Amino acid sequence: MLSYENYENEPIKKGLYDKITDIRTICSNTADLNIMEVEISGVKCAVVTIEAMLLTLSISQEMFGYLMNFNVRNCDADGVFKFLTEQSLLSTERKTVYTYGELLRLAFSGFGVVLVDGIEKGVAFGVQGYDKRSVTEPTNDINVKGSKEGFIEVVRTNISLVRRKLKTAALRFEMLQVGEKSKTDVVIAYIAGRARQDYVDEVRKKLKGIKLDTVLTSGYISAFLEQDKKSIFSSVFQTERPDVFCAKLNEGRVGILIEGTPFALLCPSIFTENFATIDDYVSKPFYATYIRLLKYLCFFVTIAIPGIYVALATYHPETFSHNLLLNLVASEEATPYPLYVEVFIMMIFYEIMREAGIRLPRAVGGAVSIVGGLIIGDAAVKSGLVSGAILIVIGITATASFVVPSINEQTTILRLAFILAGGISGLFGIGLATTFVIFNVCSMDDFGVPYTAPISPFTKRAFFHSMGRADFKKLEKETSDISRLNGAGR
Amino acid sequence: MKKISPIQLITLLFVTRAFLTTTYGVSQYKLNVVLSLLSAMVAIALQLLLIIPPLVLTTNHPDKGFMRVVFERSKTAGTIVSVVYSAFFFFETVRLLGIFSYFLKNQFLDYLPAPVLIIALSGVGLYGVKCGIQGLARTAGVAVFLFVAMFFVIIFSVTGQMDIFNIQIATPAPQNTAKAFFGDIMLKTAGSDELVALVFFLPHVRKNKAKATFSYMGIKLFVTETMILYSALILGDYATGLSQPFYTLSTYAKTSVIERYDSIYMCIWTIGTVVKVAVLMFLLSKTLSCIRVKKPDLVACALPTLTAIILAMLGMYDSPMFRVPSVVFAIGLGGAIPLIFAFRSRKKEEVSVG
Repeated sequence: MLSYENYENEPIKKGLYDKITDIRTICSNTADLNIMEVEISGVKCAVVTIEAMLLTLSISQEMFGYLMNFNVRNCDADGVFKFLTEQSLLSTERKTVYTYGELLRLAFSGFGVVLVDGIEKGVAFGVQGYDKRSVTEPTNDINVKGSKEGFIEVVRTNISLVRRKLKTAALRFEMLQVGEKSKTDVVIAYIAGRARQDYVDEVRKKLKGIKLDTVLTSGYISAFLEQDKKSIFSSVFQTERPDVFCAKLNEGRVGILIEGTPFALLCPSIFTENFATIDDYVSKPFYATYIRLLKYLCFFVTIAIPGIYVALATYHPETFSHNLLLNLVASEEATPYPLYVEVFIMMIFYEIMREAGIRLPRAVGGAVSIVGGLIIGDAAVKSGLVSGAILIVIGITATASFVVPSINEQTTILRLAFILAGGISGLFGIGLATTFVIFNVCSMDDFGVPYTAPISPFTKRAFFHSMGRADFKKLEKETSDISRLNGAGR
Repeated sequence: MKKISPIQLITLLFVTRAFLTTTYGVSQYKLNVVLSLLSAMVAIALQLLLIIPPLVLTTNHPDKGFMRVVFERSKTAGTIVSVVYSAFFFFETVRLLGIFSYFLKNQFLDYLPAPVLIIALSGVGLYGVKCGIQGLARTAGVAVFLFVAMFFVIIFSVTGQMDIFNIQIATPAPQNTAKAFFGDIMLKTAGSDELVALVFFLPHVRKNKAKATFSYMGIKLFVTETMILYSALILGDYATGLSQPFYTLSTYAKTSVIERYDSIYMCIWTIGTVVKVAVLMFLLSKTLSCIRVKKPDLVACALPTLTAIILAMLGMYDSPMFRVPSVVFAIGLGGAIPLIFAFRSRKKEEVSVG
């Protein structure tokens, strides 16, 4: 008996009532299923739609009205079907469906499916009209002088945003469905002739190999694209910006757009990409270079400074100048806990405040800032729980972490690890932790591209492009290509 | 076979060597500075001869690892050579772990027991072994930036404290100058375990093997001469009694922000030591796999670690295991044995290697 478990490959039946019965059975008469029976030119037909997925005004005026006006004497089912498939333009997208699986997938994607009595097929028309967010500025990839458009949750809109920026026939999109139950539309985007075919093939293979029930966010997919599961950093880059997406496609990467999330994925990715923004290509090269070097410094500060401070102040105080040392000793004298415990506690407090700031409703957000500032700042120092110097370290660290938001997760965990390492064994522990991280990062080479390229393996021109921003005259002569980095390739 | 670039070979050799190079200073044989500088140059020249056999071997047997070449010549020879190189890498790993843990315990971490230090170094080193030759080479490429930065920071920080009279050219030479001079050359060559490692790295280099190797020797000469010169100019006669004169220089190095650089230097030295531990364990695991040892990675980590721990716990830091090995090993394993197998044999044996 037909049910939701075995309908995927079941061919559509001939009789209209059989078709309708099957669809109702598969969907268990779900409340959002609409099946309207109608006669078109004397032939019994049915239109299958899903509640609130269609442009109601558009479908009734343009599609239904057109269908109702089709009236040919002695027309049979084949004639109606031929009209629907070959002699009408009821929408910009039209597909013939042969199985209940295809029929329901398209219906659940906002298509209207017309079934004709006596025909073992259906015709799906793209008349999507579900509510969606308008294209607005991205919430995470913020910039000053670049475009204010960001991807939204609708993959077809995202495709159009990319197509508008790359008006070349070499830009290709391949759509797949991923997720056993969600059948999420996932689009592979690449520029033919720029992206290596083996990258595209590998991405396609990995996506087809995903056996999850649902794919709801980009994180579901990026986990399957990463080859090295033990790496701290991700070799898959995420962005909300169409301009960044297009720039990286032009560098030979393969992009993935996912229905239901505004975050697009790009692979292969390298470490230095996290420090480049689209603003770099709007400013003068000298300023862009300065900002980029500042980001590298901020990365070092946010990860290492708390740990190094703990290590130096606890085990190597001779490193500090005399005046600073005396001030530090005086401030630490009154505090009850070892320095690394203080720093660890304050970092955890900061993480709590940060997470609360993200999750709280906006109306109460201001209260969190006041509470955080009062409790963590003023009261903690006055009560002697922590010293003032630690607040400065935490403040600088926290601020620096927002300069490179794309690797915020990694820097948060690494920061805590470095604090522990420095607290237990000073700069020896810092050295060990640093070596471990470098080993971990240097062993990543998903898609055959070393994650630490162009630093190691060293590629001279690409290295200087990573550290600063080359002049457009130079970029005119040669576009970056990720597959040409030293060490890239299988 | 996984490949590395010529620059990666240079950085890998540099970081492998850096541990010993940073202990360089004015000669332990009481030679004056000029003779020390000269002995370093002659030692490098001797090492240039030593690197020729591995280069010839890799040219005559492209895309073949050294052990594979030996096993193809003779299974028995392969087994013997594997055992010899395994023993060498084992002893070098034990020596490295022991010396560095002794240094750390005495200078910085007296509250941590030596076994803890050794296990920490070995643990991270084992992780490096799992990364493979490409992971190690890339890590060395990153670590070398830190070494170079540290090197120049110390050099520029102490430049103001130089005293040209510390060179003491007119100082009388020791009684047996020739013997001391020769001994110093042999001592500098004996510590060149990276030349033995080179035998295994060269087949992995993508191109320009000879150019990369000679470039490395040039860099090594520059760094060695600079270290000897600065040790003498800043520390004078004091340098002759020190086992780590460049480290001592770091205690003199001072800027307006940092009062002394010795702990920072120790941090970077730790990074270099761990990379070297990983390299030695990696090479040991390769030679152990040739003699069919199961789980060679773990054995290559566990065996030297346990040995170093036992020796450290017994306080046997003056044990022969912790001294620089005889120059015979560097010359034999780095030059002589590769020379034997460098040329193609008429009789080829197809033998599968570990």
